[in-house]
Amino acid sequence: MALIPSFRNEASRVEFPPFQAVSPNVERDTVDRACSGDQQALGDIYDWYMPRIYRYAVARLGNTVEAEDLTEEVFLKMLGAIGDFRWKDVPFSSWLFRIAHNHVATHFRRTAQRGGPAVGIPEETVDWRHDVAASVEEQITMDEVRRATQLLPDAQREVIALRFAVGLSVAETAKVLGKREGNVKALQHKAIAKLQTMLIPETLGVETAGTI
Amino acid sequence: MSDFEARLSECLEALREGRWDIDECLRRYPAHAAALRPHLLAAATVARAFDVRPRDEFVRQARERFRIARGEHLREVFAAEPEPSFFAAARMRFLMAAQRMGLAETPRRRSFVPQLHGSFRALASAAAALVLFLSFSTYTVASASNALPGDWQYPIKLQTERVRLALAFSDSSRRDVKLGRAEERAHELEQLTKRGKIIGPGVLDRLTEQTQPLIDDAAAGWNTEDVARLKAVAEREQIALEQAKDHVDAGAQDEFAQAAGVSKEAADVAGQILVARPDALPQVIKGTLLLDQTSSPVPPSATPEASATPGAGSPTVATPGGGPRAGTGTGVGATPVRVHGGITWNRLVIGRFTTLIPSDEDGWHITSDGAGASPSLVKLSNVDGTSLVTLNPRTGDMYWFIAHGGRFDEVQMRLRQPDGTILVADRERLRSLYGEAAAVPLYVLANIELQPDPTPEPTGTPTSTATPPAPP
Repeated sequence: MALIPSFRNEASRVEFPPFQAVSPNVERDTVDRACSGDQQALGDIYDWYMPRIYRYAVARLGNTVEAEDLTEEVFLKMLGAIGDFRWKDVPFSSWLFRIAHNHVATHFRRTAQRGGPAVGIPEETVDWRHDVAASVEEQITMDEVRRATQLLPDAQREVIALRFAVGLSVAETAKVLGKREGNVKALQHKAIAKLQTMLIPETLGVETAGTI
Repeated sequence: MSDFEARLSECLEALREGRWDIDECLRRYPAHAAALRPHLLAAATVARAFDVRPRDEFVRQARERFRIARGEHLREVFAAEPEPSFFAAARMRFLMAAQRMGLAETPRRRSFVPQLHGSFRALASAAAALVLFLSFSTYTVASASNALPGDWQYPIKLQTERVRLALAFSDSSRRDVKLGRAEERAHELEQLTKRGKIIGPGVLDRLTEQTQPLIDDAAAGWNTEDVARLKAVAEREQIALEQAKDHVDAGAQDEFAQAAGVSKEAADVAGQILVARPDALPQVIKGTLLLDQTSSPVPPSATPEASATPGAGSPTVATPGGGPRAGTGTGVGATPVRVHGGITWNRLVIGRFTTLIPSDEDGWHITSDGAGASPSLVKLSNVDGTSLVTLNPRTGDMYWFIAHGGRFDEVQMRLRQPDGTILVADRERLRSLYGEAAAVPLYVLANIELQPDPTPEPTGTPTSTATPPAPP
């Protein structure tokens, strides 16, 4: 069964969810104040990044319970390290997600397992702001997509999480992972191609052959 | 990187920034449209699949914990004042040591700490205090865990608890720490009583302060397991308070009453919550399940002890002069009448009611409700506060409350029916469920004797023993 058949003729209805964006100047000023121990600035950073760290954790770990714990731990680590943050090295977002990335790696090492299938994401946590008529079918589809993502090789899964769950740019993703941007783009391409085969197998070879 | 890969990446970046939609991407690169479209659809689907938001409750609580953790948290923890008695004693030891070492003169203050600026100075102080605390002698902290109020290590124990609470970030771990803290207060009360210490207002205040918040918290939606644990803790507190009441300082009676009230309220609230929780029911041992229907009615003579030794009454069930023979008075025989199972058994006689009860030396304490000579309820509890037997001398009804699996099970041991038949607990079932812990209540049960009542009893419901005793 094609898991996303309704998209075939409704491409314009499928949009990327908007990612919360903060003006670079505001972010820079806030981060500088946070580095000096400004409580309000630390709170602002938390509010901006917490939902994105949580989404990253869900994407990497595959369940909301561990994602909640990891989200909190990442911010506690951030507290301990923010005094050492320097703009010259990486963007703040890359620096923060590198903490999260390392924490996930530690988590996997510790539990000696990779993230399980994407189960345990309650329906109410999904943002239904997109006008989707068949919400039940949509939920099933989204579950399938999350499960499919968990089956990707780790490097591809990491890129997918940072690019599409968190909304980082290619450049920011490259900084988080310590890779070149070209590598990130290649991994992104491979991951998407693989997801296509998992999610819409029968359309492969039709649409990619240019017969839309 | 291929041309297609570059176009795909460009489109994805534009989609992410909201500059283009998918149709726009396809319009811009018609040569790649056929291949781009499924890629972009898949990418958009993945982005939507992970467009999840955390639970509102988690967001609220996590934000609060982060607020505390970023500074105020540690300052609150280390703002705790030492116990005045500890402070005075420590100061004295310090000054004496200084005198011995000839260091009584005021040392010149020199700072080797680099000057920090801004709020990080406060954070650094708190962090340094935390490091100092965490690196404090492991032995000292470990040994402090057994400290009782009045011990020099007791403030360390309290401080350890504060830090443990402060560093518990998930709701469940905070609940665990708070419940553990209340349990510890009950344990301290038991130990102080056991050692014959005078219990001051501070001990009782701490018990009140650490139990009271749990009542509101539990009502706000705790899971069943934690509510059951609260019930067990509160009932343990009630028993500990009951046992401690003779040791309470005369000036701490108000604090004692307050602690008793809070413990009772906690037990009641937790009990009410558990009643409404279907998942709690299978874990509650219903006394009726243990009653052996075939054994009723029980003949009045259950081979009681042939002789009872008159003696001084217990502090709680006084003997008004007469010997403790059935029908002749009330009291506990001072001379042991039997040794069984390694326990010395005394005879309890209250009016027509007699049985054998374990001695104080074996760690069992007897108290009573009602008038001294004819109490309406006799309570027999062990020093650990894990086992409580209640006896109704008028009806012979017997209940046993036993700490089991994190809560108190209520076991009907002996129950007189309205038609006069008597049901008793199934011995084998009890032994299989509770093992050795059932030995004492079963022996008490086996020795219960209730002489026939020469005068008809007033009608009405027999005195209820179905709930744990109310605090004094």
